[in-house]
Amino acid sequence: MKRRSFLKSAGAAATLPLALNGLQFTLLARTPQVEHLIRMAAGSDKALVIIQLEGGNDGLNTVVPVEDSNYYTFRPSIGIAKETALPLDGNPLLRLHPAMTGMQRMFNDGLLAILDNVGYQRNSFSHFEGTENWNTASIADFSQRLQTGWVGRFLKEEFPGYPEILPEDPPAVQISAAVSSIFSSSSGSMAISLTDPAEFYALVNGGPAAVDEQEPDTKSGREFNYIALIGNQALDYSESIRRAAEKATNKATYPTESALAASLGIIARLIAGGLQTRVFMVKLGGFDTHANQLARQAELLKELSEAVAAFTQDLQQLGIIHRVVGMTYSEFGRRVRENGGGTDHGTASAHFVFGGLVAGGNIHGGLPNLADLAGGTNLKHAINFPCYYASVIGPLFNIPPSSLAKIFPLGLCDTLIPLYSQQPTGVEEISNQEIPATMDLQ
Amino acid sequence: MNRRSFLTGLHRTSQPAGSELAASPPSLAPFSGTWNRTTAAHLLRRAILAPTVQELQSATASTMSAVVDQLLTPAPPAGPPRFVNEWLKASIIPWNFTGVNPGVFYNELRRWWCGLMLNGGISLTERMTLFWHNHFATNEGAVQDGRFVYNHNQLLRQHSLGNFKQLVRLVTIDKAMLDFLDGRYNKSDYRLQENYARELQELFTIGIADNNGNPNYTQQDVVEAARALTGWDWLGDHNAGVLCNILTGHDIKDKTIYGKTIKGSTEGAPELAALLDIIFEKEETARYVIRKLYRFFVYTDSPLTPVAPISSEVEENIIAPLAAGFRQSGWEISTVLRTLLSSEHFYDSEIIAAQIKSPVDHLVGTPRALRTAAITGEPFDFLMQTIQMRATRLGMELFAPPGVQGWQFYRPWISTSTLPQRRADTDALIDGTNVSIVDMLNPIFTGPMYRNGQTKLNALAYAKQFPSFADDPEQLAADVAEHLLAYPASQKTLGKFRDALLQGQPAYEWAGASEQVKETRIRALLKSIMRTPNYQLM
Repeated sequence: MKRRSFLKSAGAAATLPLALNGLQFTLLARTPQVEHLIRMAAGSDKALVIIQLEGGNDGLNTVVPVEDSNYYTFRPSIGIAKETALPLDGNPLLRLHPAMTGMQRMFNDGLLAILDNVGYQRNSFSHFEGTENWNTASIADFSQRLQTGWVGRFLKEEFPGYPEILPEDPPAVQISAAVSSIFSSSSGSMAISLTDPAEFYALVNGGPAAVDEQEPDTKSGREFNYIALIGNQALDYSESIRRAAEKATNKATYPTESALAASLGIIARLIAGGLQTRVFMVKLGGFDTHANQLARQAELLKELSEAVAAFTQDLQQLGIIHRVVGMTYSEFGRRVRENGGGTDHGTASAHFVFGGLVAGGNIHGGLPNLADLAGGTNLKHAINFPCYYASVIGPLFNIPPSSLAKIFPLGLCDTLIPLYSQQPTGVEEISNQEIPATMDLQ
Repeated sequence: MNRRSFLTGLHRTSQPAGSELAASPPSLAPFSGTWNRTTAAHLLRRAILAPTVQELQSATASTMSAVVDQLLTPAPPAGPPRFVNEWLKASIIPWNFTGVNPGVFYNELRRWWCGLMLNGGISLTERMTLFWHNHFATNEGAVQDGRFVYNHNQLLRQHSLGNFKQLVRLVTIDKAMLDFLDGRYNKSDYRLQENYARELQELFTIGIADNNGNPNYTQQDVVEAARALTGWDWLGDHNAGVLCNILTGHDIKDKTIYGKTIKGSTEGAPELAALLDIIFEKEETARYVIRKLYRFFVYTDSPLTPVAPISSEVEENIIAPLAAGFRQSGWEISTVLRTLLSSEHFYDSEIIAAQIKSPVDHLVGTPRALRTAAITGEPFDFLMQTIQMRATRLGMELFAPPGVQGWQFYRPWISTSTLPQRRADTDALIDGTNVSIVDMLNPIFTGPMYRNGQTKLNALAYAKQFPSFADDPEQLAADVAEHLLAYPASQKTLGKFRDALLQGQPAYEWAGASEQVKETRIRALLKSIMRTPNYQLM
């Protein structure tokens, strides 16, 4: 966190280091600012990597219910045969898509958990609306759709002064030309985007200086101010991004010719190089398999699995596997009954959480119930997707329930899903920490 | 003090000047303010990307209605680029690109389309072709035959200012669309494919919900529409037309959509006509498309086009009456465009410069504004190659929108990744940049496989169009800024432009400087102008 941001958000700067040093967490937690600082100190070395599977990934052919005869009745030509699907230790009823050997190994090694039947009651079959629902964590009907992204709301809680007060490193980074609406907050996007750290630095620093003019609050003036803000953010962050990227080298070999793998490689370098960014995001597109699903989905799941496996191996060799958690999401699953060569838009689907902190080898959400379909055609969900999100970020970033309730205002679940083998950032850990050093009060 | 201190800095009041009725409710009444450079430039920027000095002068000297008339006149038909031409003639290239890199083909197609925007005159044809490409988004990566992609684009161009209902009918049975949204796999019974039937309603006609969020159709309506659309196919013969009957998989039973029945038929065509009649009877169909046109030509603060509602003020005063006019006209696109582009609201001072340029607006608009004549031959090829490659890098690959919902426009175009790239792009266009074109198809025809060249805009010829070029460099900087910027530069920024042009030398020395020095300085001025936030707005 940058000094100026600390001073602004905490107020009484001169007294705070003394106050923090040696005091109990319970006492400190009485002021929201202090509570916030402690949370930041505790969670600041953790990073979440979100992988969006665009187009609506077919969960049934990803995590296959190989012992369910209904499955093969619904999918006579595109069903995945039990013999070719990959076994998952301790889970005889479900197997993984044959192309996902890397992620199978991670599951069996305890580095990857599966959440099956993740969805919501008021599912949308529209790509666009579905994506917005998942990005904003909107589970109610259209008129109640949230206008900000769930990650944006989380990061706004962490960095309330953003973007006027910038933390040292960007709160979120998307490896892309554009930023997703998942990062939008009440004060604009919480993420920056870049495709390559070195190129980013060269471009930004070959360009003009910061814009120091503010235009009036009119329709056109607001757009001017937005562009000026983005340009200034790029200037602010290009140096820290470059420094982090140059400090670390990838240790694992990533598959070539995969944009996903290349992006994950950049993220591994940035985290290993010390960038204190909370959330990273990458996308893999093409999952809208209405036709020719067998070949198309196999190619995509192979790319996903190989890239994630290489990333995980890299994190292990870089010694940061316990600081990073990855997760997938997609706008919907697909119809249970095939349409010949593919599947139409559906409801619930299977997702993955991985990393050193994750209690791997577990499957949450149970088996897909093909004998009891919604409207006779679609899977009923077992895990409400905002509950999935909250179960990932809550423990990882040590977010108190009151904040989780703000991040997911339309509700989530009574109990979080136990995704972690240990509390990633416990209270004990916080009070034992050298707080003044972490705060870096100059 | 850090950069963010600008937030507490001085606010200035210079605003783009247009209609003085900004405070009154938005109105479709004909614009009654003064027709001047600002209003003429605004209309042309939204309609043809970026006017040349000549075009702006003529439009300013003309009247609004005359310019709008001219804009609504379709451009002359555009012939195919060379590879497509050869292909259409001789079918030398296999339809599935066996042995040929499809990228070579599509890069030429992209150069060709960017070129039509660059060299086109005062007509909305290319702007509307882009609108329809975004509306009926198809991606070449998911269409197997390049000729389908080309023909689809020409279909959109041919009907770009024509009849909307007719266009929807033709797009529905267009081979690129049947391929892209799997309509050709949509057969009766268990092989029903909902993909096109859903997007037809959600994205192409009625929209998923009205402006208050009430759903416009149900999942059952999607299934029923899909049934009505079963069977359209070309049966594997890429040179044949499409047909639809009981033998090609058409479902002959009755269908019920929005509570209305479509009589089952052994032929698909009457059912398609009946389906569109039902959809087009709904008032929401007109409103949905008008909202999209409004966002494309006028303004939005919610870039999530198919989902975000529009302000109730605009909905009531602009969208509703325009939609009514659209229906009354029998779905004539030019009728609604005439009303919209001639309206008081369109020239509202807050609307001017409130759009963020798309990558194509930015990259094609730059040479378009600077050109003094049509750009042709090798310089054209190299310029268009660099433009289409750079547009792709900025997130706008023509013929390949990111999904069936198209591009988002407005703020999503600008990120920490794309904004520095945009400034580097204009630097490169002004300073000149090396370009390679790989024509792997050439062994089949004639000509080189690889061409390397430089592309550089003629900055001097551009600047000489301003009388101030002769001996008033300070005025020249202001003139060029006024021509290129929809959002006027502040006095302080204008000072930076003058510094870029004069580089510390006294203004009186300008007239005596060599052409070479002048050219270098003009390039510095242009780069300085194009690096501002102002230049990203239109």
